[in-house]
Amino acid sequence: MKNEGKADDPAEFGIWVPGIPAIVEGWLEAANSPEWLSGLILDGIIGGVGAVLGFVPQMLVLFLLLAFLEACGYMARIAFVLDRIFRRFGLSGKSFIPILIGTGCGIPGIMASRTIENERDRRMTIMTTTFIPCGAKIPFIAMIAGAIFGGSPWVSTGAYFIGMAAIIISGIMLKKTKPFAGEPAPFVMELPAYHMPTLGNVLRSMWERGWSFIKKAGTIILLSTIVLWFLSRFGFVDGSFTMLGEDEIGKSMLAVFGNGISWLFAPLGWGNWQAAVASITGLIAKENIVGTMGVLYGGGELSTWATLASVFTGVTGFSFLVFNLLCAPCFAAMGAIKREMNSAKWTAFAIAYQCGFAYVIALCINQIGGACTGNLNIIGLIKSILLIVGMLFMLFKPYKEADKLTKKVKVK
Amino acid sequence: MLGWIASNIGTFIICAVLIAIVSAIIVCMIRKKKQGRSVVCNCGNCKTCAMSGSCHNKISNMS
Repeated sequence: MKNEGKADDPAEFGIWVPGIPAIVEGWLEAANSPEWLSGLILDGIIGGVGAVLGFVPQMLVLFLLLAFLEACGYMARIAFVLDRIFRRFGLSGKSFIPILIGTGCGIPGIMASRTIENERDRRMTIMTTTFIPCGAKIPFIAMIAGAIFGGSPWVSTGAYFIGMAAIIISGIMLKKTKPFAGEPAPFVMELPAYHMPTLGNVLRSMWERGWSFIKKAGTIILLSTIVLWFLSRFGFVDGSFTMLGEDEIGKSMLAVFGNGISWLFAPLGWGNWQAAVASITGLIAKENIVGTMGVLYGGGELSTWATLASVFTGVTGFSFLVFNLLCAPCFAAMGAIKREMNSAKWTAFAIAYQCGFAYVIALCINQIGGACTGNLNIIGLIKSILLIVGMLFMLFKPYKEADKLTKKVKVK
Repeated sequence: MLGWIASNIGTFIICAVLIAIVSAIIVCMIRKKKQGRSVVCNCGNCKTCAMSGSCHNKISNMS
């Protein structure tokens, strides 16, 4: 009641330090910089990279806790404990080690599948490892949780459970197909004794991962945001190539590309070009989804988060989150899949399976969620129910071990 | 001409700084790629990683 409904004056709380965008804007105005350069620096670089770097404190807390779990010997135990559960679903405990490493980064996770001797199990592990959210997906999860779900802690926790569920469901379904059938390999490992880790080791591990994240934001993400800003702020108007105003962004080169592919994602509930482009740029590096949202939704009257909250509903936001969590990983991880599979056919199958699985799950979330919230699409609902029935059939279909040789063998 | 340059000197300096940063990033990424290191890897210090030998086999082969 003090200010009669108005926001508090920040100066009342002590020395007021304006944000980095305000300080840089002041410098640019003093340097008399043109509109395009101010836009590039403020909306492109600071909007995009800043959106990613804003999550550094949360990332450091996560890395600190992960480093503690690794250093005290718990991670080795959880792999052993999960062997029994994984075995029921056709995966060996050896598959959990790559998944565990994959929580940091999918590339060494995929590489870690080399310890699995059985080729069919190794292929299946490579295909499912990147379902678990890697460090690069955390800013994206945090952005969706903060902007659309009011900072609910269940979103980020749920992302890991969704990843684990996707691995288990895929494990069960794939094991019942011919190329992946067979008993999982036994799992033997030496468990280290529990011990209290040294503070220095935990802090060093946290810093190394955190610094890697910051360096990534300052290199590949910065370059991507510059390119994205250029593509989203320039376009053809009345036959001439020109810089576009805030209200003309829909005519940009990026919008033309995004509109060309956005129809694919319309059944998932987010058929707008910005979300379609963000999903594609996420293939460069998953943090890029946040950077892209910062560039495309920032810069206007509303903040990036406020615009996101106005564009997505709870259901469509969750569908967007799940699709980007489960779909194909970044190009670097795809390269690792190619190296480990050592086959273009299997690489293509792995990426197609990941994208297809993500699409089906996101479609079911949007159609069933839409039906429950009064946004019923009868055809979409029927399709998603059929897909769920198909998945349930694969899940509960009895497993049959092949006892007949069906291949033709030449006997010399 | 000189007057135009003088009035836009701030823009030139900012552009030069931006171009220098972008060039440095590209050079750094190319150098990393040539060394066989991942450009977008997120795993922290590769020296301490158990899978370092698999990711950086070019380096390990050289050494």
